[in-house]
Amino acid sequence: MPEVVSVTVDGRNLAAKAGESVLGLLRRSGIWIPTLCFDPRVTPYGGCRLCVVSRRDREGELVPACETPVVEGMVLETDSPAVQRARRRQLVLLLGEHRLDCPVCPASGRCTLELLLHRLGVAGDDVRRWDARATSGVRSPLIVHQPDRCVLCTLCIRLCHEVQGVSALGLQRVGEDTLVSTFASRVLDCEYCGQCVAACPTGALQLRPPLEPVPRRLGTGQITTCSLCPCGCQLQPAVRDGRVVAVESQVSWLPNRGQLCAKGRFAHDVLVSPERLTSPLVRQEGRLVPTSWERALQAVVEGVRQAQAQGRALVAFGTPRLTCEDAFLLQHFMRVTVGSPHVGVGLAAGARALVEGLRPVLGTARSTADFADLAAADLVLVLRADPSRTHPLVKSVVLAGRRRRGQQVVMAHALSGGLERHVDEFLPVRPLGEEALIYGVCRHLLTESATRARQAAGVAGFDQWQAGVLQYTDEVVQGLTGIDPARLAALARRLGRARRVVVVLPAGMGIPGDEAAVARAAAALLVLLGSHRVPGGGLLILGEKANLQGCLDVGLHPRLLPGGDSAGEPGWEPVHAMARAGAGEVGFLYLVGHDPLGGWPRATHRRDGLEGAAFVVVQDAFLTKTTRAANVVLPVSILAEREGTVVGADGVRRQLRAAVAPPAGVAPDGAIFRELARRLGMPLPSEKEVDKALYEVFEAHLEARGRRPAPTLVPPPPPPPPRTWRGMLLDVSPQLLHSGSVTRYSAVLRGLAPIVAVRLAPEDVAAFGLTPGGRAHLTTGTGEEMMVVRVDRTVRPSSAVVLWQSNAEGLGAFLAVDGEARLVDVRRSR
Amino acid sequence: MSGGGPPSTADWPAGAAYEEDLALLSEGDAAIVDELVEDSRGAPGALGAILGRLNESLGFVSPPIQEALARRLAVPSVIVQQVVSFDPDLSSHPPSGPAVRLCGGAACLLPHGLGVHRAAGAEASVLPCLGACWGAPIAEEGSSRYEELTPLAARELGAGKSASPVRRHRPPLRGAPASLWRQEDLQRVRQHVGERVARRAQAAVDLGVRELLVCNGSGCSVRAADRVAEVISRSLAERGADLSLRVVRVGCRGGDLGMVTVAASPTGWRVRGVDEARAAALVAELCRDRSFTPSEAVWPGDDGAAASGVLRRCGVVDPCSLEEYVASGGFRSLERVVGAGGGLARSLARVEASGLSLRDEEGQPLGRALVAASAVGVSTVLCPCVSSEGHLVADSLLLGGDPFAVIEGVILTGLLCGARQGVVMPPSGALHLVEQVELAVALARRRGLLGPSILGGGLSFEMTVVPLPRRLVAIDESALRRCVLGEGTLTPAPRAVADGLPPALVIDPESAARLGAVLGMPEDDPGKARLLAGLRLVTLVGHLATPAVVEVPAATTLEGLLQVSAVPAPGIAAPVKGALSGGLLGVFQRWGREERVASRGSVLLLGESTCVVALLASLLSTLVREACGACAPGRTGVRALHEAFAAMAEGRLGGGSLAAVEETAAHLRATARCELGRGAGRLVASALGAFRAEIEAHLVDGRCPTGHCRRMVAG
Repeated sequence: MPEVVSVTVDGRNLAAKAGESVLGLLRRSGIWIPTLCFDPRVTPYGGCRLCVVSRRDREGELVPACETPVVEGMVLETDSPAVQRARRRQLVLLLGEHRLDCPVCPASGRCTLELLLHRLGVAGDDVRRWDARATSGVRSPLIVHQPDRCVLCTLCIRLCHEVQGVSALGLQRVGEDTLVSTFASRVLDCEYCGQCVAACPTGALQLRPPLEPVPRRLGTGQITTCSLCPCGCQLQPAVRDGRVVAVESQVSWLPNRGQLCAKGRFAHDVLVSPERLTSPLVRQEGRLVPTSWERALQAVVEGVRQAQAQGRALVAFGTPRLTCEDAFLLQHFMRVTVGSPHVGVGLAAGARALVEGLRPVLGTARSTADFADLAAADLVLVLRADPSRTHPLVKSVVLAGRRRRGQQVVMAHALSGGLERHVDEFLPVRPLGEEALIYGVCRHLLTESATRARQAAGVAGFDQWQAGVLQYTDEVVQGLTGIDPARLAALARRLGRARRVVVVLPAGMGIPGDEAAVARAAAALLVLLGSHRVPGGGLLILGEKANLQGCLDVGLHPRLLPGGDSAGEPGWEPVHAMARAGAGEVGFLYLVGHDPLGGWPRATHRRDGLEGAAFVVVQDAFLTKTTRAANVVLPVSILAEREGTVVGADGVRRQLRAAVAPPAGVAPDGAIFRELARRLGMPLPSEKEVDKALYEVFEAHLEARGRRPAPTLVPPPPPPPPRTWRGMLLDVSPQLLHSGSVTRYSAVLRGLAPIVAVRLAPEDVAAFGLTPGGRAHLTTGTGEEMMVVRVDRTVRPSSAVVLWQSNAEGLGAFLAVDGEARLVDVRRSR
Repeated sequence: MSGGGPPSTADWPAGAAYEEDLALLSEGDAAIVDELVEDSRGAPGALGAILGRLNESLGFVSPPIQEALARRLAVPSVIVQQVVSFDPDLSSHPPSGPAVRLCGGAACLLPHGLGVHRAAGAEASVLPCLGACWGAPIAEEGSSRYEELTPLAARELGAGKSASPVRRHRPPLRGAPASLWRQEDLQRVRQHVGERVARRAQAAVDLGVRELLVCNGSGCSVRAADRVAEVISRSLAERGADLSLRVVRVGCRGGDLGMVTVAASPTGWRVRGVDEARAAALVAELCRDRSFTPSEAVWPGDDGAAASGVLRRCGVVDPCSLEEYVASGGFRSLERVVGAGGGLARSLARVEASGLSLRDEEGQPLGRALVAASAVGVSTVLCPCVSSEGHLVADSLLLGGDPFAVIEGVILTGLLCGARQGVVMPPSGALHLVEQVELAVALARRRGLLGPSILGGGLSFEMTVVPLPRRLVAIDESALRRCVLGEGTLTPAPRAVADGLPPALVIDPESAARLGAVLGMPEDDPGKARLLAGLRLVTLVGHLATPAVVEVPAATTLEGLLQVSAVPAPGIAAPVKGALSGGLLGVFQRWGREERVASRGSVLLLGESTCVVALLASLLSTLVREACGACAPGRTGVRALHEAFAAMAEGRLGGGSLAAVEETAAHLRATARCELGRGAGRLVASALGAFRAEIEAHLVDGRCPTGHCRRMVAG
């Protein structure tokens, strides 16, 4: 219970929490205090000195409210003449170095400095201007920086450093020459989260036209949920003339507290991409031709009836980006209307980890930890990939935990991302080595603590599991992971000491390793540590697409029914389904938001399956490679055009609200399912019935929290023989600016991160004799590709980062099976 | 969104594309970085220390080196860049040939420094302080120094005519900041120190050897102390006396300004004002009977009585010899505190009762601070050599001349308040000081004065040396602590956040040295201990015949101070108390009754012909450059005041502006984050009080009473 202290503010007695800042108390009490450099997300700075208040108990001393902690008996005046005078004088002084071009400044109307001048009534006569500071500052393709408008509040620097962990910006020089700058004045090379621009209280940092944000007063759209990844960030598109022109977010909105990644902030231009489909297409004489919705839907219905008549299978894959409502409708459409069990989320990263990894051990296909657990954990263990690249919000939660609570963070994976430099320990395991690492740790925990072994002995399946774990000796683990026994033992000790442990498993196409196997191992580790059912502990599986969790919850999976029950007659898994299709057993293949030809590995029989299926329907917003094999293509609405709910990786269900109308000729997924079902003579449940069904599903999950079923330990596989990894590791896991298919249609993101580039560490670029911007030949043994060379200082030497793209312009398509890591030869292209 | 279509990168300016440079580190440079990082692994404050050493080794710290260092220390590269651009002793670019470097220190600015700077032109760079206040204003070009420059001379110097205008031209100082050292000089000094240590260790076993100590302080060095030492050595060798009579260079003790001092060890006997001719005569006389005794103290200039108080060992004992320090009473107080049962509590009570003060703005009692610190549980004692210029001189004097006294004081402070870790922070630019202190700490550790059981008494205390960027003079305790932690964040952390840092007590070298001296006094002599507690080190700079470092009792008036230091002060119009952060006092006659030298470390004196407006413009221009830029008042307010006084001196400011100037000064005093901003406010406010008529003459009548401001009417 925090100690309460009594403080007198403007004659009123207020109760404050000991240790909180005066500013926090005043704002909670509804007292307006001007600030330029304060943001609750970052360390108070006390630079602008506008939040000064007078301490009557110390002879009227002026103290900055943001960095002064409350103490018992403090007597404050927040609006005395001395306080007002100091604030006005400070504003006048700031104007001395601020470029006064407000009438033409794009920030006018949302500029805090301007607002304060009006509110505090500063007279213009007082202002004396002197020579402006440097007029050119940070260089960036995205941002215009004008230091002579900067008030050096350092919000941009602190957000970049503390929230993003990027530290791309810093102060340079001293005194009157002080300015915000990048390292060595290089072109800004960062995560392009846009936080610096959003937080800038003046017009010093602006987006470069045409990305220029509109003043707040010119209207905004609905508050909605970003559906590009499962973090569940809340955002508000600013809409003008029916189009999204900017995206904003507020500090008070959870879970992202105003933070957005580059995708969330800038990818809205995909809505107006010229590559969007705006009319259904039907194949006629071998060619796809635009047609009416009436004809297109009728063709689909005929395709269904023909398959049924022929007794051939009907298969549907829905993207995990579907809303819960649409996913429910799709599985209902297939299972009830069409009468086929072969429905699922397709090849969606994270699905196997949840269903085949977590469910057998902990009895649920839901992450057992959420963002609150992540924030409250004593130790966070990150495996498989770096959330900096895959799930930026998770990275920020981890950074905040470290900064505020001294949370320990350990990472173990084979790729690079940038979070390594913020963690307590980074274990660069060999590709595919995470599973062995965890079992090696488990063996240490079992053999070094009899108490722990005794406690775990009561768990179902313990004996077989223990027998399997004991095979992971230090030598075996070192052979598979490259981690020496001393570090392994130290990791086990570190984990053993922590009371609450959260294991984070990012998922994404191209991340090496079997996600289900690693999830099983991680779940067993948590059981052994006793962290699987305590608040602040658990397993957090981060799916790649926005609503993977929601889709599984509502039964969009061949093995699961709505609510998580096992399907009586399991449907076909995606790879199996494509193989059956290749064998001519599938009469109707319905691909909702999937592009197997562009984005699935070769070994998934994607090409044979598409060629073998009698009737293929592709439902997507863009013309993908798979549409080549489609009989019918149905255009759909995406992102901020949609209504419904999505469930984030943290298990929280959030609302999607349509901020803009979709283009003419485009329909929502759900409406298409409904219309098809109606035409097939078996209408889908009404919206009200769907809401009721979903309510029951998610209410059951809420109730289930805290009384999860008893765990069952699944024996680990025998250790595989060690593999030699020498050479360049091909890294095709998600990149920060491109995680899947949609972002490739954003001109802004393509400008920031070209999709046909290989990213290499500077050392490797020099070693291979490459030139930045030049071409390199990449060969994997199963394929080769010519790519543009980019230098990336976050890439680990001896690895080549290439985008897994849905239209196979990258080397990702040459990988043989899901999760396999591969070496690549890099040479200069002549 | 402009235009009808979606945004496209084609719209972006052509120059805004990615630039990717592959500036990689050479193998040699990478090896140096690796070695330094390896050496300092785990050491607190590694970043600052490594940067200082890199700058020393390579001459500058280039961006690729900064980046490599950042990667190896796992800190963001912008933070490394921030430190490099913050610390005036570090550079990110190679030095570009012999250029004119002007001193921006207060003593140089006072007479007509601003005029000198303007006259020297844009090619000349201004450094914060070149450390030779006696010759102010000064400039350097290559290894040459030019003293007492006039604007005319500076203009010729700036134009490349360096021969004619110099008044004096001397070799670089011993003890000058690192930026002035040439690499070969550094090597020579290091070698010298190493040899000296070895030699004196040998002397410890050879009790028959006596020593002649030649002052190595900056004041003596500039007056050819090295040549004096050479002459003495040569003369001794010629007479075959060098086996029993050695020549040793020691740190400065202050107060013997303007002359080379030679002292005899271990008697404390000394001769002042020795030049080359006199050195030979001295040896001739000494060698008549091949020995000397204390009875020879009849030599003129002996001032053994002054060798008491804080400076009592400076210039008398070898700062590299722990034995000499112990022989002269060192570590007596530590033995007393550690040895006796209940020594800590009794010592704490004694310090509290002594009236010993910390040398800060309020002269806060050290005893009370120690009691409070022991109550809250302090983990670290920080001893930064930081403050305004005058303090820097005094602190450097102690760290260079009597480092064991500072170390002992820090250990005592830690033991009394329960801390187990001490950090001594010499200025990073003064590498000789850094090395001196590091050597002293190593010697103390080897002798069991630091470590798990000090003097076998079971109490533990550890100490590290963290070089401190010079600009931290104006930054608060949180920044110091962050610097110690090696976080490299030089921007000040707010108080609320400082809670997350290990608690620390800050004590300056002078107070630390005094603590040891006070506790070393016999307990039955409280009067003497109190007198010692009240002593202050005061640096006098500015329009003096010579600068001086003197010890005075705390309550000494400024007038008394001049008498104590025997400084001739004809026609002095105003003193600036406490260097730039203090106020500007009124005319000489008012000193005695108005002000006391209470816990302040320096005094600048001005001639009657100095224009107060021009003076303020000069002083404020220094503060504008020195401001760290973090807080808005310190950055904008100081600049506004500087602009106002610069405009006033040129007759560009109207009478109505005085109110705004006054309000800005008051604003700075009330809201600035650190002493730099608040001091600027005090400076202007005090000037407006004491010299209002002179300032109004500029504003209202458009005339300069002293005739200094040439664009205005004189008289």
